Amino acid sequence: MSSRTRATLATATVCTVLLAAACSSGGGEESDPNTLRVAIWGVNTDIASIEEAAAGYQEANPDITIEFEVGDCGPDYAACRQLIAGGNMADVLVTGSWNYFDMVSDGVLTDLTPYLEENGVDPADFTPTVIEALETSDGALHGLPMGYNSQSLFYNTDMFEAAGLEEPAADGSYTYEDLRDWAAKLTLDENGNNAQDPEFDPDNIAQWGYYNRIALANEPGYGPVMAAWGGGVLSGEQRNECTIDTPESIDALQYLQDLMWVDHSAITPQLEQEEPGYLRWVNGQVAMQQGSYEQVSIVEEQNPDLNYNIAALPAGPAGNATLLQIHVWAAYSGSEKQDLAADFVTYMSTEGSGQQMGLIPAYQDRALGEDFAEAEGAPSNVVAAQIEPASWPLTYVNVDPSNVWAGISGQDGFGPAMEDLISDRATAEAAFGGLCESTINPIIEASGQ
Amino acid sequence: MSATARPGGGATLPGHQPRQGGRRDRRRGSARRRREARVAYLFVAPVVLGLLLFTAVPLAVSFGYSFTHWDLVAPAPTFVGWDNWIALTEDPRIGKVIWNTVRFILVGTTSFLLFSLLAALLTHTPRRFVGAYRAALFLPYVLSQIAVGIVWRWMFNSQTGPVTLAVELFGLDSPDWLLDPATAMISIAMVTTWQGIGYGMTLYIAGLNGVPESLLEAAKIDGAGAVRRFFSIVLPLISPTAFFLVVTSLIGALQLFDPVVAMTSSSSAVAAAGGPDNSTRTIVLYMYNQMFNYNEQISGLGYAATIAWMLALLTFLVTAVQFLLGRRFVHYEGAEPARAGRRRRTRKAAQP
Repeated sequence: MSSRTRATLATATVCTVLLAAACSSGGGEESDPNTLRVAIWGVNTDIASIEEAAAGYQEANPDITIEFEVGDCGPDYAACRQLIAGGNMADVLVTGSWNYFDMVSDGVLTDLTPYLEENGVDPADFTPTVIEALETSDGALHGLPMGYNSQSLFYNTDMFEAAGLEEPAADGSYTYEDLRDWAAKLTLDENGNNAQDPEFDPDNIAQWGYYNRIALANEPGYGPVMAAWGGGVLSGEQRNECTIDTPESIDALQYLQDLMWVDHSAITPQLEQEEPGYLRWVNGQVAMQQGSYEQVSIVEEQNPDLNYNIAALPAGPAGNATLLQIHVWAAYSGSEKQDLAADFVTYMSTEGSGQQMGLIPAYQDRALGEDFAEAEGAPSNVVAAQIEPASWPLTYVNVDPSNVWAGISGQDGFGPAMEDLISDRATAEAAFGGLCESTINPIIEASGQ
Repeated sequence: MSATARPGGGATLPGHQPRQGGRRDRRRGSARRRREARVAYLFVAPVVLGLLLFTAVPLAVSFGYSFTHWDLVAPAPTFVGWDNWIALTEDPRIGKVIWNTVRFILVGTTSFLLFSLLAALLTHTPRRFVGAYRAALFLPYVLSQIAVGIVWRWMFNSQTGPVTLAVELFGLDSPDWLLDPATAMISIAMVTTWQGIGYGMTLYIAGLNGVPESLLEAAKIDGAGAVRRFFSIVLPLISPTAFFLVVTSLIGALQLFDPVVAMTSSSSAVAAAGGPDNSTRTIVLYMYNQMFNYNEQISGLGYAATIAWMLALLTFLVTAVQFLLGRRFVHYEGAEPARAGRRRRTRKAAQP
């Protein structure tokens, strides 16, 4: 072989190796045993709050390096799947009650039960509704609560005063009929007529009475209302029994549609599309909104002069109800640093808990202290409106132990019916009547539940 | 073969005899050609290697995946034989998503081709500010489809959107654009047409500039009107450009995804896109949802790969049909259309 041929072949080989190297995922890299990769998500203040909470762990463990990786893995399971398939998943992640069981059933999350016993952590130290929602049917815990948020009524006190209305009772001792009445009285057209006035012009509304996330077809919007009527999309311990077409559910959905399209007192999907309803409330265009505690930080950032307070959600025909959403610290089961990951997760949800992502701490009574209820800038009704509803009998957590939610809530499930409802193309009865048998149950059965 | 191209650039012309320099010269020449061939192979190697690694291998792998089930979490895919392909034939939703894609093609691609041509006809002759018009028409093409989708989502707001207000200005009832199953896909098609016109216009202008002025002048002298000149001279001569645009825009339309996600997702969740009432769920969006929605037994990477291959086969079929039709309708200057040429030859042979 001539020298030129050898040079040619050598160059070709180098090119091939370089191309192959460029294509490799790097999954074979060995990681530092003292470095823990933590996948987190959220807005800048959320990220900062987590890093601040983790500083205590780093101080106590100076030999451990925590590397935060900000992305979508956690709220979006698909993003985690891609990281797992690519061999690049972090050791620790923050997931949510909405996809926690999906990950558990796939074996993605480490069973933390043995670590809890080892570290002397008692599940009874957490808010019962919250910790029980994360237990699998055999009582195992694959994650620990970072905290939770709860749906409450946020209202503009100036608008209530201007309308001559008494403010909603902080503990929720008022009804959805009261709310409907207030919403109409607080909705004003450009001439100052309210929605109960015969002269009211629904085409020129200057101030709306109410905003509910149903305009986004979102469960934290319609879920608590349906629960207060004694209905819901799914029921049963495993949340795999369809109840979306029961009379109670249909009445609740009709109530929400009537607020938007009969009373003209609530934000419609069209208005939501133009500017999100929660921002309209923050900017002083809407008198009341159903929302979670994150509204407090949004007001602080965007309109600190807004005068508002919070009340627990009202009672429906079946009683008071709200929806809790939990953010969950969890360890990736494929991590080589199981002990370290479990240790960090335990710290962040116990000793280091509080003031993470603006959530209500679920550990011991931290929610009542400076970490939440007595924090600077917290509204005066926060305990009655945000913390106490967690123990209402009808309060529920949006966990999905049967992993059917994505299937039933999308375009193949009740998605089109919900679109018909919120766009006023069909009444609740016409949109949802018989939907369990025709659409939802086959999806649940196909999923093997 | 009249001339044989060789790697390294050497060519042997017919009738040309190699120099009678003996065996030694022939050996030297042969060794040189081999060396040159090796260098040539080296130069094309990166491209071939890239093609193999980034096109051929993924194609083969994705075809392999269509015979597996994998949720990306399990350590490896499970071989399921023809299950995914059988499921595809039994999937009650696949007909709807294909029909949605076809509806987009019928409205979006057709209007893109027509309005691009119209824009080109209006702007190809030099006149005042024509450059500014062209730039204005081309500008949307350089924008991100997601950004454009978000802006148009606001434009189509059925209560306060500028499009709605413009329609109402004429005393007409504006539809619920993106919230009504009857108008949602049409609205998306309008946006993609608006965004693509500049690209189509540019290519049509290039085609129009290639139409010989002498032909148009001759036709004019012969008494042909503007319409006749357009259909008999201009259109046949720009047919290769039109054909290229038809083929590429159809392939693009079959892959419709971004505008649908940007304009129909509620709360920016891709899984929720495709509404209202499934009226905008296209093949690629369905494939994406099957890839990341594991709540049904037949889903995941394997089924998504099967849908991708169905789409590839569909694209191939549509393109093949277009090429077949192209032989009849596309006029390449200097080359006779196959059928016309054959007919003429037949007629000639039949002459006494």
